[in-house]
Amino acid sequence: MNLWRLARRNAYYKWNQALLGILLLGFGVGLISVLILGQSQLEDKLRRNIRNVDLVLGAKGSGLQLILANVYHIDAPTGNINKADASRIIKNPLVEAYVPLAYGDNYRGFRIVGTTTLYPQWYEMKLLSGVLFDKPFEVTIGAEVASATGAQVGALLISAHTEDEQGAKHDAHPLQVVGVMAPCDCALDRLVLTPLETVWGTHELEEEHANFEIEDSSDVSVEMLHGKEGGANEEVTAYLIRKRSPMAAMMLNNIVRNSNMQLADPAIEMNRLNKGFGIGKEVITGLAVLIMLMSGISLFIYLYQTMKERRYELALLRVMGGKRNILFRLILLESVFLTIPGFILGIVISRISMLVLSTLMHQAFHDSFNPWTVDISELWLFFCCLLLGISAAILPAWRAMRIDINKILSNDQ
Amino acid sequence: MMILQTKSLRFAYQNGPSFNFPDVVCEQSEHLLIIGKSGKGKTTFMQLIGGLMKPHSGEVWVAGSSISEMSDAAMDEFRGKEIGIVFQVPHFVESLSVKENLMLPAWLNGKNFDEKFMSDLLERLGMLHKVDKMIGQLSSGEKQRIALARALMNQPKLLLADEPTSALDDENATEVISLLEETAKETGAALVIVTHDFRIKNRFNHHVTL
Repeated sequence: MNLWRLARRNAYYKWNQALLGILLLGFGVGLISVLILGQSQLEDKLRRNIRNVDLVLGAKGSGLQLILANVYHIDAPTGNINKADASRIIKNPLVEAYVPLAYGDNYRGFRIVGTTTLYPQWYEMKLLSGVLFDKPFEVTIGAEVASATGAQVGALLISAHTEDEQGAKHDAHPLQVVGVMAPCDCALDRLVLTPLETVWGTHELEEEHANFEIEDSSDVSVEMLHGKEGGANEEVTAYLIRKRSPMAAMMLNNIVRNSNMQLADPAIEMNRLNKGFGIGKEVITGLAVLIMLMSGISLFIYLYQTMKERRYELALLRVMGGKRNILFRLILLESVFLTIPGFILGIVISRISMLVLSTLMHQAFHDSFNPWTVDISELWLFFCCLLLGISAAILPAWRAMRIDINKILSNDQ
Repeated sequence: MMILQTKSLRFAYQNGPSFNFPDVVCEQSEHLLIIGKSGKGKTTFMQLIGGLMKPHSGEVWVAGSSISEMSDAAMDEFRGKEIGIVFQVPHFVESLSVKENLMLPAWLNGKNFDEKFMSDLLERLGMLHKVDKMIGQLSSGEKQRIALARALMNQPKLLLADEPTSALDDENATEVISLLEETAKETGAALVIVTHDFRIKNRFNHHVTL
């Protein structure tokens, strides 16, 4: 027999009487844990997607929409811009490198994006099989596309048209899968990448296309890209830009100001979005803290009541030679033991919630959370629970320590 | 060997009755019955002897130590080691089994639990088959026997029983008294029974009336 064992047995003997406190604690912990996991995974996703992208150049409209459409590929594009107009910006010496993105059709809901091989290089994509796209109508597909559609190297994809008429021109031309990329847990998992020419629906750029073949060093291909883009009627949805200096954003902005284009900074737009979430997050955190406080009060009431019911037991421990502080520690430990199922319940609730959220997110964006990760903050949450247990028990424990054993035992008569 | 001796014990409750107790003596392996009607201070006397509270004047010696001089903490420790108490209504830690309850005295006094001693004791009390039962599954007669076993687990020099029979019928009362006598004799403890139960008076030739 030892204190831990006695406290554990006492705590769980009539645990159903403490159910309210345990449930409340579980809900509080669950809410906070979901917030922690959601926040950290969302931030992680946002960071992973921004990577090398300092600025995004695209058609005028909402900056946030431009970022969501072209960095995260989860919103409709703001429109297209003329390649010739854009060249004023992208050929500026302040631009270190850029990746063009031209939205085409979709293949079974996955976007077909015309780009250069620099795009997957920026995201350090690896190939599971095959090679990167090279000629028009060749595509390299993301891992999620491959697993969802079953397409593999050698498959021919027939794209669906998008709403705009342009898509209709080349919807009959099949696209050949030449490669499948390894998962990156970023937007590229859900894209069908192809040369720009595929989207433009032309074959005339075979020559220029040769410039994209150099894949080994991004710097070289950047060099090659510079000045090689031509064609007056070719449209691009957006350019992802890596700037050369911190001042670049401001100066480039001055250039685009009077055009029908805009420059957006993904970090700034995401911060703005995060602030929008922030208020909601604070409300939920406040609610969760309130619920945890209520669970603490409920635990306190429970302990206080059982201490009265068990006063004979406590007096008995004293009569048998137990010191006062044993009773104090016993009640504290019992309370701590009661918070453990509360914490476990909370973690279960949070994992189930994350699973549901992840499924919903997958249905909406073909992206998901990993519900099974453990965040270090959850360890802190565990210590908070223990602390809550101790705080709730201090007064009852103090009372237990001070019980008058003679009075209790003579009330027997 | 003298186990219990009291001298001019006096105790007064605040705004309540005050008691002067007769001097009593009990030797090792002997029995002493302290008998008295309600309101004569039986429980008070028992608590003074058991070191549960201190007299206003007078002295109590148990196994050679003057417990009325001890500090509270020292008295707790001494009581745990040298005095076993059986109460009128036996209380247990409900969340523990019979065996675990019997482990408590050793733990609380920093001793090693002697499982063989417990088994022998339970066998003697006819309770060995209940060793893994929960307290809630016992009848009141069975509880009283387990309470007796618990009081003896630390092999105390003094076994105090406070109204051990008043909640029991004749048959159970006789049996519990026999068990108290026999087990006290076997473990060498001095047995002091405080009671108002005149049914058992005749069984003891050594008694004091309050």
